[in-house]
Amino acid sequence: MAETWDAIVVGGGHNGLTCAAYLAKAGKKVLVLERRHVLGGAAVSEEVFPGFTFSVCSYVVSLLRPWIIRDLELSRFGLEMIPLECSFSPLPDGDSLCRWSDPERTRTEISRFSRRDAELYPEFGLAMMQMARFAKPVIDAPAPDPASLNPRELIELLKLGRHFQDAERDDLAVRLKLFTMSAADYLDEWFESDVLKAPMSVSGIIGTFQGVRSPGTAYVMLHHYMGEIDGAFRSWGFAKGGTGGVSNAIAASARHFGAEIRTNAAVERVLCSGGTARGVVLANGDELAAREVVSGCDPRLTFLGLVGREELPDDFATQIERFKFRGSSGKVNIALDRLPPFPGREGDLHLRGDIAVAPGVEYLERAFDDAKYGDFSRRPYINIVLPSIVDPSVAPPGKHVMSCFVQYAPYDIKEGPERWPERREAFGDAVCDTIEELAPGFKDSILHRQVLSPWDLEREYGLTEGNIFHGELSLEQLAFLRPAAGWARYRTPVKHLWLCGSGAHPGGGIMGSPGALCAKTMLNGGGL
Amino acid sequence: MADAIVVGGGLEGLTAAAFLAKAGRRVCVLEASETLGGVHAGSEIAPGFRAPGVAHDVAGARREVLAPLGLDVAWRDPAPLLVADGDEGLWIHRDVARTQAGLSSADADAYGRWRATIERWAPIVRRVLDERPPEIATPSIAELWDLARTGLALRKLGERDMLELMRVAPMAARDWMEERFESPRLAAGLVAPALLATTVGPRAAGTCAAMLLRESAAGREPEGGPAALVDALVARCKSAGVELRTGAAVERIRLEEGRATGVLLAGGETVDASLVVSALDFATTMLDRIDSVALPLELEQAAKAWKRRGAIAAVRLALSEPPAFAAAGGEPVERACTARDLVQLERAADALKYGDLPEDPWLDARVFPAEKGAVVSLLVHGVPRALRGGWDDAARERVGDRAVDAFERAAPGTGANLVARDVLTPVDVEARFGLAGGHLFGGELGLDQLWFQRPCLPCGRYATPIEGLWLAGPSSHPGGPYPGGAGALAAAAIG
Ligand SMILES: Cc1cc2nc3c(=O)[nH]c(=O)nc-3n(C[C@H](O)[C@H](O)[C@H](O)COP(=O)(O)OP(=O)(O)OC[C@H]3O[C@@H](n4cnc5c(N)ncnc54)[C@H](O)[C@@H]3O)c2cc1C
Ligand SMILES: Cc1cc2nc3c(=O)[nH]c(=O)nc-3n(C[C@H](O)[C@H](O)[C@H](O)COP(=O)(O)OP(=O)(O)OC[C@H]3O[C@@H](n4cnc5c(N)ncnc54)[C@H](O)[C@@H]3O)c2cc1C
Repeated sequence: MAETWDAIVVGGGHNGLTCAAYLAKAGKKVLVLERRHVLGGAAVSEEVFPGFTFSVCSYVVSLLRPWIIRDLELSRFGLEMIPLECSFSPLPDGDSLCRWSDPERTRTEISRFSRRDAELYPEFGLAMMQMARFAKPVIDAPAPDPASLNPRELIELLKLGRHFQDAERDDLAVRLKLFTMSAADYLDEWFESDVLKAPMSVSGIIGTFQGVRSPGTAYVMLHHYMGEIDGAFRSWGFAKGGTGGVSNAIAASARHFGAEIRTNAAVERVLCSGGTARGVVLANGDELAAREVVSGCDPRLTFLGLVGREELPDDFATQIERFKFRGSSGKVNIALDRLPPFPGREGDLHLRGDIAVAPGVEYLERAFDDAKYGDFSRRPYINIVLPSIVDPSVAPPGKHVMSCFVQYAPYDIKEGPERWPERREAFGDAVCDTIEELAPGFKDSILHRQVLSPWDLEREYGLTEGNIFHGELSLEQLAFLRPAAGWARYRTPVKHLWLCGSGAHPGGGIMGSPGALCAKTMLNGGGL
Repeated sequence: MADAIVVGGGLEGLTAAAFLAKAGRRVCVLEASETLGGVHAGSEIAPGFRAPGVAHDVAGARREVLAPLGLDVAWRDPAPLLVADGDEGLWIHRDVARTQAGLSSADADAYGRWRATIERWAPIVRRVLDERPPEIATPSIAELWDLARTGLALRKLGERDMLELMRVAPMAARDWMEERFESPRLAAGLVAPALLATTVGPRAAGTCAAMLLRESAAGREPEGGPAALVDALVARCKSAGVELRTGAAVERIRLEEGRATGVLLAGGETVDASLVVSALDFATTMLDRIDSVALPLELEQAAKAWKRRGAIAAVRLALSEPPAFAAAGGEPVERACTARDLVQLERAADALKYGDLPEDPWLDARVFPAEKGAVVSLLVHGVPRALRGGWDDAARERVGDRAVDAFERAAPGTGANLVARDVLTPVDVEARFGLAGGHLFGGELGLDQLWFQRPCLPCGRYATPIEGLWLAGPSSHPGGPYPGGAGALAAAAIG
């Protein structure tokens, strides 16, 4: 062990990189070790087929914290965002709904299905933003600790509570309901048109093993509105060059501040003795010593894989073992010869945002039912983007990349997860057939296709059970319970070992919060 | 002139009336039908076969809350529950050790620990069930103090237990059961009672909270069943001078200048009072019994949004012989549940979602002795109020057939002893008892419709924004499955 580092970060996902950048900026000697040949983890761009660069996993950015963009000077290091223009929902009868960034156009579109809904739609957006404003402080600070008797903590909690109460009774009622209702029930209270409700409700189920009628999905919709109020860029957007653009900018910033980053450097295990982390052992046998070890991998991989149960208190290990992953989504990335021909729409304006295959609430619920009993959805919910229209750098001239996020594809299919390789192409076919029905002729335009099942996400991207958020974002796995009661503040029961990935508060998505908040905790009284 | 009119002579109405009379008020109960007791009132389904009310179980009755009434009721431990749908089954007793005797050693162990956890938490849950919900929009100092006390009780559990309770409460029952038990039937038997009349399956978030409520509330039941509780309440009302009028259907609750001043009966008679206490469900009270022009907008919206999707059919069988359960090993059976595993419960909820009848429904069954044999009361889960294609006689008979088939699997030979059967679909329940949506509990028991949100924030503490109008029915905290609670707490709030 020649060199000693202040901190070694395991995993070059965007959170690991963010954490490293903050530590380096504070003058610490930092090393990032990434198993794969590219950086970014689930926020990655790869040239999967010659000339076609895909956002292989995550595909749109919304919640990347503006203060992180500022602190790490990400714009200077190449981060460029392109806003989504619209949200398009094709229907089986050849009709479609398109919600535009222009409210007036949206009103006209919705009123074809319901005049009443068209009038209420902007009001709904305002109401949700209002509530997102109240929920937002939660994603910008470490989790509150209800078990603490520390007066400062209690004051913080009270402040949150006050924030909650700082509203008319009507608002309060709505807020309370939002946390317990299903997305579909909640939308039923506002709107009548299924065509509108279905694509809206899906923002409550992304990455969860829940249906739009499952209680507790309504508040997840808030996330959709949180990006909107940041003001840094309009709600959802593409990163130029794919979502890897975000990770690459963070990596450039980290390097600028002095961090060293290595790829093809898989960590075999965390070196522990006497309940204390002392460094890491690489797959090639090298041992690297560090004062602090930070894991950007998910909690199961970190604690049961890299650390090992024997180093952990029993109670904590049990909590990690029952932390729920059960991935529910897959990804199909397609290289296209031409744009998909959705009937009734000319040009490509309607394709410059996201396309939601969500033709009805019952359709979505049936898709969920398939998954509940151990199969992928025969007719799934698909969220499609075609970033090459607005970012020509990712495809050869005239050609396109099509990214399809698909739900549901349960990790635990009834044949057993290890049988996914045999089911993979059938799953890909179900996705293509579904799109073909809405855009006849689409299949003829396919040049190449990459299908990622949750099994593949686990193998290739280190996402346990293919969960895209490092563990479900259900209420019992959030805030002071993420990833375990008593250990929600990036510290772990192993001394000098930290958790900075999406399995820590506030959770998954291209946010950067866990990484940044972990670094801040380490620097701020954390002994570094 | 009465001080207070109670609309509806079901359990909650009678309870409210008895407490109000005890507090010195002159009370008049107005009941539409010819009998008191609402869904708990018994009736004859065939000559010689007197059945209890369709609400056949009152083990959730708030005994402590009712205690001041000094009811003439003998309370007993409920009979054990047989969970079986064929030759194999298991018994769930009140007594932990007896339940454990029928389980695998791993499950016996896990069950012991699970029950111990519930017992530690139950006092806190019961405290919530048996107290008026807090004012949370604009709490007074005293109310803040009360909330703090509940908070402190929670803290006294110790950090580990407290965090565990906060973790479990919003969870899906299936996940909790999978963490603990290996027997699918045990899981199903524990979860099923909490799902009764909900529209969700065991995978739904929040079903653990429903389980916690059920388990903590489960107590003793009146000897003689629900009817005995009704009789005791009626006797208490009479002795306290309550005027009990049957055949008196309330057409309208009268409002003058935004204030409730009495009611108008179906026959045209008006009855005046300074207080009107509605023991009907929330939606019926607001949307059917109050002139829509006079109804404040916030109440109209809340009543329309009130979720009350009926999910149960009640099937009563008149049998010449008591049923013989294949898995009972010759033991007498009073309570049975035919749930097999959590997948069956989930599929029943799926059917409900799409407005279909479940292929393979599960039953909550009670067996009662009758003069000429036995009456079996079955609650069939997963029967939608909004049936695809609508309800007609054929659909009603189909429900009856599926219920009999399912019961036949648990108790072979039942069909041969069948003398008569009486099937109430959610539509029939709605028509017969005036329960909106045909929902058993006066409205669903999702997290968003409990406690201070039951039935809505402005009415979460029994008072309503309409001066002089109070709610005391099953749509108020603690709700339908916990008889006596709403009636008693409402009366206490009125003072
Ligand atoms: C298919 C898919 C679609 C998504 N869509 C979106 C979206 O549109 N918008 C959005 O905001 N979010 C989306 N997400 C979620 C989001 O991408 C993730 O939550 C986020 O990128 C996770 O970042 P992270 O840094 O916490 O972890 P990760 O990105 O998982 O990083 C962990 C890193 O650790 C590395 N690693 C693992 N084991 C080792 C080892 N032994 N040694 C060294 N390194 C190791 C991994 O290779 C990986 O690079 C999506 C995720 C997926 C999978
Ligand atoms: C099929 C079924 C099965 C059930 N099973 C159980 C069970 O096993 N366990 C359990 O705990 N609970 C059960 N319940 C539910 C539970 O008992 C009820 O939700 C709740 O307790 C009923 O409250 P109540 O007695 O006040 O109302 P009800 O019994 O509904 O009483 C309301 C009364 O008001 C009368 N009324 C209606 N309209 C008017 C009017 N306009 N004017 C005057 N009077 C009117 C009705 O005739 C009725 O008597 C069941 C309910 C049903 C329908």
